[in-house]
Amino acid sequence: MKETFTSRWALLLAAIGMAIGTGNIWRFPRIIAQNGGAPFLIPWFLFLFLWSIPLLIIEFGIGKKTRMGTIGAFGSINRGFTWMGGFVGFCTLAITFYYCVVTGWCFRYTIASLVDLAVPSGAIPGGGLRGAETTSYWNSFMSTPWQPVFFHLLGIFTASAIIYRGVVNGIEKANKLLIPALFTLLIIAAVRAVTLPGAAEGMNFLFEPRWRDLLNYRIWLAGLSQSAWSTGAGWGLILTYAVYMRRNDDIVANSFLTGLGNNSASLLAAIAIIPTVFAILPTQQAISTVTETGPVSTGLTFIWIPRLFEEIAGGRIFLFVFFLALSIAALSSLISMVELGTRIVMDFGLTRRRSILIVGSACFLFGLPSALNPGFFQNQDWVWSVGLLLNGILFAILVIRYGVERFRRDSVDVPDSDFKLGRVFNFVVKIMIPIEFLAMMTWWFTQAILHYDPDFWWHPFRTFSIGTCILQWGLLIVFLLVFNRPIQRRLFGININGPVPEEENRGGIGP
Amino acid sequence: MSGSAIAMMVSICTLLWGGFLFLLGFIWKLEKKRDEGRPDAARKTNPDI
Repeated sequence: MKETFTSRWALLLAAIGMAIGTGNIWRFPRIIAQNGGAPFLIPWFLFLFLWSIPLLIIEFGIGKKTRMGTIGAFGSINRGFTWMGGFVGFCTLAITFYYCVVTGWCFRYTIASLVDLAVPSGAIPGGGLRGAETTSYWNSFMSTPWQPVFFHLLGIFTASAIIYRGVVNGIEKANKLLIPALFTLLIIAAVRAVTLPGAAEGMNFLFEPRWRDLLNYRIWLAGLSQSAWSTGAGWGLILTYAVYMRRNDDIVANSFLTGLGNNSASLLAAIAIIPTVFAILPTQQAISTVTETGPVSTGLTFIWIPRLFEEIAGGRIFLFVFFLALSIAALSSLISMVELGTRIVMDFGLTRRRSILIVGSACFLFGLPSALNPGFFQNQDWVWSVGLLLNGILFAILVIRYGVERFRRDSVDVPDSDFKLGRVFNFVVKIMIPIEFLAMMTWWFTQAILHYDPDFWWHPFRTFSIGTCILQWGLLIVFLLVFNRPIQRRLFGININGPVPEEENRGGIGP
Repeated sequence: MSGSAIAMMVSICTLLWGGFLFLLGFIWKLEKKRDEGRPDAARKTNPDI
């Protein structure tokens, strides 16, 4: 018997923790600013219901039905699609490798901002941020190899230690603490931002509707992409948590709550950041600051935020609040990512302890190149972020092949469900998701050809080329297809008829 | 802030946060009702059961 969450709230907090990550606090304010503020909010909100929530429903349904990680889940529903589950799982794991690095950066800056609080005046030992030139502070952090590596290790160690304790004692307890704390910190930061003198201009920028901008297709594609990446839909993470949901737990309301919770946190983060920037800087500079990406898209978060918070009353406290919220968001997502890998390995018959050791070590080793080389980090971010869009369509293909109507009746609109979806779900999965997928892939590949690497977009060894995506996805797909049958034999041989691993019987993971 | 920005802010925040809080409240009520329906919960409120 697998462990299950002790209550619906425990599952929901874990799901919201999975969905809210650094992308909500780090990427969303930048993307909303790049796309002109308020008009972007409309497609972003709309695609929550047309891409993210339907995929969350699919993931919840598959995980609850099959009770296996991504590979086993896809294989359980359609043996021939086992490799697709492998692609979904590896894609998310590849993101995990560099997400540990990002979590490490957040930890580093939280500690630095804490040092600022702890040391009242004078010289700051231990690398506080106060008074530092933030660009050189960042550069010095990145150019001292032991620092990113150490904090990368700290990130993966923390997440592994939490899931080592199991679903109830680890994931559930951690999220019960982290998610209310995260919302509290975001609300504090947002209230502080809107009460700053001059914040109204930032709020105006954020909410002034410019309806004409809605005619710009870029805003729609940016909204769709943000919605696809931010909610964690299609990553296989909700599928993994659904393995541990109780038999009678609802799917539809849980999916809606996860999606709305994620977007609520994003909006809070935007309200916390954009008015602060506008309150301190002149309008034009403020716009260029919030849209600036900097090295590996870190400009606003790690360079400008420390500089700007220095200018406001109580800035040091709010800087600590900001980085603590960012660290919590990163950690709550990292926990779900490491659990995804662990669940996949456990499905092959290994104990939780051994699985965590394997996945944790792999995350540390394969994350090292990203910790040490920003170019490698950017390449992996590009390849596997776009790969996530493929993940989304793979989930839709699995359900379309199984029969959307059958899936809805068997797994979603069941008697225990709080809400019934109706046939609109069939339409969204069969028609809308494939169209959205094609639009996003065309858009991102066109960006690569026209803007990112116009001369060498086909080259397999360039950072932002289409060639590098095709090469890395292709190698993975070939590997998975070659080993499709052995994986099936190993997976279903053990899980259908084989003995329950000893450790599970001892109660470490047990019911 | 301009009037249209305030209107937009109210609309988006109501839809998003209102929807989130409404669902939270809805699930809260539902789970409370379910808990009350469980035999162990009934026993807590009525020791004779």
